[in-house]
Amino acid sequence: MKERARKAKRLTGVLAVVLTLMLLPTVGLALQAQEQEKPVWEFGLTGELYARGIKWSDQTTTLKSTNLMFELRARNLGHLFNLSFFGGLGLPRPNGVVFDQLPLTLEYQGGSITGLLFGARAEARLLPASDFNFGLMAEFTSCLGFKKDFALSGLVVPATATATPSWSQASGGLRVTYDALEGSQPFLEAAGSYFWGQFKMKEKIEDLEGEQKVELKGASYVSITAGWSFFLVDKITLVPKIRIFPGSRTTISGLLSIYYGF
Amino acid sequence: MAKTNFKKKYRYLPVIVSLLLVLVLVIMTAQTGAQNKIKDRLAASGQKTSGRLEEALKSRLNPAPPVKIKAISQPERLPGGPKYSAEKILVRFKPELSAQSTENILRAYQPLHFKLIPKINVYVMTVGEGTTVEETLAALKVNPDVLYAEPDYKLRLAVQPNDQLFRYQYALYNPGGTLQIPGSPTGKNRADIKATGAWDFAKGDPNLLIAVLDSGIDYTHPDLAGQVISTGKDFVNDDDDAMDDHWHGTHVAGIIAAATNNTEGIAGVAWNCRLLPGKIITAEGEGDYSDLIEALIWAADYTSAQARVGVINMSVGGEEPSSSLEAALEYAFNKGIVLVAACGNDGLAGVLYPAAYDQFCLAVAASDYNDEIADFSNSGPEVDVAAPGVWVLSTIPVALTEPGYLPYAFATGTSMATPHVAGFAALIKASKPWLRPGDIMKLIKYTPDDIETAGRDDFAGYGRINTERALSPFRIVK
Repeated sequence: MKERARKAKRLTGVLAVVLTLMLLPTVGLALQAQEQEKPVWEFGLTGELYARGIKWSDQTTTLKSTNLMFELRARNLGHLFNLSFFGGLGLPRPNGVVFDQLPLTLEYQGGSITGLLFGARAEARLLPASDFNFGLMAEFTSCLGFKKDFALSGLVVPATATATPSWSQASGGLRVTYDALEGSQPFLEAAGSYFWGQFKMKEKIEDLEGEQKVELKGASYVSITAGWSFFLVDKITLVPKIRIFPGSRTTISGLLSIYYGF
Repeated sequence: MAKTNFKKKYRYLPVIVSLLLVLVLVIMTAQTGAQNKIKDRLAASGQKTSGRLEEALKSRLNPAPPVKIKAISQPERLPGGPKYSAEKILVRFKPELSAQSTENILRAYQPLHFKLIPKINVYVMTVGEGTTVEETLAALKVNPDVLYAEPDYKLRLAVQPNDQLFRYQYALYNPGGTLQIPGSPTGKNRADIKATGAWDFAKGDPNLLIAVLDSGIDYTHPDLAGQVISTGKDFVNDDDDAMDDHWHGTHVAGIIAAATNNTEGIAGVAWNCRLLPGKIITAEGEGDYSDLIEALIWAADYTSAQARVGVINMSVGGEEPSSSLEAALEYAFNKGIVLVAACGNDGLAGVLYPAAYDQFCLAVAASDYNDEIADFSNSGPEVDVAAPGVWVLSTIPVALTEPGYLPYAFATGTSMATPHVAGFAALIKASKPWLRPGDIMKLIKYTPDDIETAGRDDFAGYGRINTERALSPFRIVK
């Protein structure tokens, strides 16, 4: 368990360093551009149906979550750089996770657990080529689930289980936009994506107690995102996105964001 | 100008495209969810006393003498109809049809998906949403192009053991109705310890030993020979040969860990565990506290290669407390060993010792095939759980078996109930070795089926043990 957690931390660190290095030139260019052009600030609202294959021990299941996030975005910094910060509520459903180190083995099928969701996203437009623009993107999302109690019915004594899930996801990779359309801009992202998390379960059966933390990781390390930004009127932008996590357990997530410029 | 026209002409395009994308996204998410759901399903118990035990075990712990059984026929099939998948069907088309034709026909039934098993040309088809396996099967069977269509029947793990005498073991699996035990009484369906369900998750570990401190074990018995780790220790005659010259210990041993799924004899509760015999009872069925105390210490310290004692079964008891006995129990308990003992067969209030040492020992009462507490079973606040102890079939010494009979017999008593709990404790300890003896005792106490009066009572304790509930994953639902 500890070894896996160390590996996860190491991988996260490497990913963070790589992403920072990748974005440094972009930041430089963006800062230059900022001197020339003021950023456009936007307030956004995003709804997401998130699904990702996750693994623990030798088991696999799908983590589903319904997320609602508020977002603050600085867009089009010198036509080079988008930066956004978001936060909101997530309803992760880590159904299927089994806690076999507890006195009484528990299998979670309890549905959604409300959690606090927050993160940041950066996009850089670096290489214009014909009607396309090639750039980089990096995104970090984290969800801290609140404790949820469940009664374990059917036993001859009072029993409860307390579940607390949390997870994080870091992605970084290439982003291509097609800029030739008037009023809209399709885009495609291919990224390395690392998922790690922990699902904590406490069990209390009369005076018999146990606690187990299950370390979670993603079933795949790649994500492909396709989306389209529609600049509806001057200050309103609508962005639908589909994100695929391909692999042995391919999942599709969908997002719909609406931004208002101010 | 051209740009303005373009903007005007296509001003609703972004909204339409956006709506289409959202629609596609929702459909794809739903489909992927359904596919992964299918994958999930596939993929799933103060004085130094050396006094005699109060009465001979034969009369105290076994109110009825063992009943022998004659050679019997092959086992009957156990009840339980065929069960099949609620999603999949197996279909084979007539050989003259091409692959393209058969797949077109299949698509007409709007399956979620299908795949061909090559060589035998059988399709595994997952029925579409809004329809059932039964409906699709009925439709396929009337299709003239279909050679045959059948449900995708469920496989079972081999946890319903194939032992020849298993059908007599209502304690492990009680089918209800007329039982094949002496008197042919009517039993209550599933008034048993749910062993078949537990074996899906645990069958024990050969390195986990269950010490049987009793009259010895017939280690040459065909159903025990491979299960006994050594000839043990004879504390009565002070030698290293714990051969059973009574019958009691061999009977207890068979209940705990008879060789199982070997097409002969009976099934044991913890069939992958091994037995360690400690003889403390004479051929006349009597014993001394001192021998039990010595045997407890010996068993607690016993090791052989990787094997260690995890559970001690004591289907013996005396009416007097003993500080020495309590100290020996504490010694074994602190070594991580689960101690299980019989309540006694006087039908009176008052649990025998060592079972009455509640802090260290699980005290076991006897129930019957209707989940009723046997009238001979002692009661008291120390009673922890109950287990079947009426007409329990198990092994008896070969040397004591009359010609023409099998070396098995029915016996009654809390002595017979106790080894069910000892086997159960071994299954838990084997699957969760990090649990302390106290935790295992609690898990056994808190997971039974409540019989007698609601809640804990002095007759059944917390209830009749349910091995499946304690060993199978407990589903947390909304």
